[in-house]
Amino acid sequence: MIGNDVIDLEILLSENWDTSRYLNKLFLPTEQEFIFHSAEPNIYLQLLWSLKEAAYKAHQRRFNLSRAYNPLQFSSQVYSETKNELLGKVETGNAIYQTSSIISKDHIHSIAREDTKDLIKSIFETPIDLKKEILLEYSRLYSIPIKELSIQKNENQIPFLYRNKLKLEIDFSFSHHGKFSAFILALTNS
Amino acid sequence: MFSFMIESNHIPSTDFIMTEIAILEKIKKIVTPYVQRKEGLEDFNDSTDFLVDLKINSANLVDVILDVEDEFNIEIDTTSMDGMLTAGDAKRIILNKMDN
Repeated sequence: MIGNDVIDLEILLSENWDTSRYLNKLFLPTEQEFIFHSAEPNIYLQLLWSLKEAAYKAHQRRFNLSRAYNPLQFSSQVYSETKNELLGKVETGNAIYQTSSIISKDHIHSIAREDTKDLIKSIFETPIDLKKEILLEYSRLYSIPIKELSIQKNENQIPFLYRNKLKLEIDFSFSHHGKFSAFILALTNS
Repeated sequence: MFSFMIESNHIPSTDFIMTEIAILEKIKKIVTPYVQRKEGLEDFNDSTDFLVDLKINSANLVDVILDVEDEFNIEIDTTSMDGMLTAGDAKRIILNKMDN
């Protein structure tokens, strides 16, 4: 399973971001240490938040979990940083999700995944109908008429792709923040 | 005296209902600055979902929680925070904490 999260860096995450009351509700002590030992705490805070969000989406989808606001149950870390990519992982219970992120001047995008299947990633900087974009992408990839495709959310607000009335076992994830929208779509190995 | 107290547990008093409405109003005021879908505020009630109906950013839900803590002089622990998805959830948590 996969999850993704995009963050528009032009939007201040929170006015309280550097207060301990705020931090202690969102981040574990190890995470706070990493954030405040980094060159840009404000950016790395948002990076770790995006890891947690991406992993939450993958985890919720994997087990069809009901929604919960439990960021402290997701422990994130970044262990490798190059100019182009930051690699890390998020642990929750017994589950581990590998993450990869990019930080650009105006946004952060993170992907969390349980496996290493290939995926397609698209990030948009202008307001866009994300559902339509993912349907178009899927329609092109598998040569299915777009009018046969739709997206519906289940009882836990998790989105699924349908072909007519058939629910497809296709793994994907959406994210919106500020002017940014992003999706990832796993490719089926057939 | 004792039987009266038991009675009052079963039939919510007007005061109690007033409190619930007042709490809901305060919650509405607290969340308003963080709401990205303003039409979600028009019919603000127990089932109003902070993320789905009001499109509050998940990183701002903590700001809401901090403001609730300050307004009602309570502390919302991690377990309570876990289930705070709707205005009704928040109201129940507040009532619960205020009782203790």
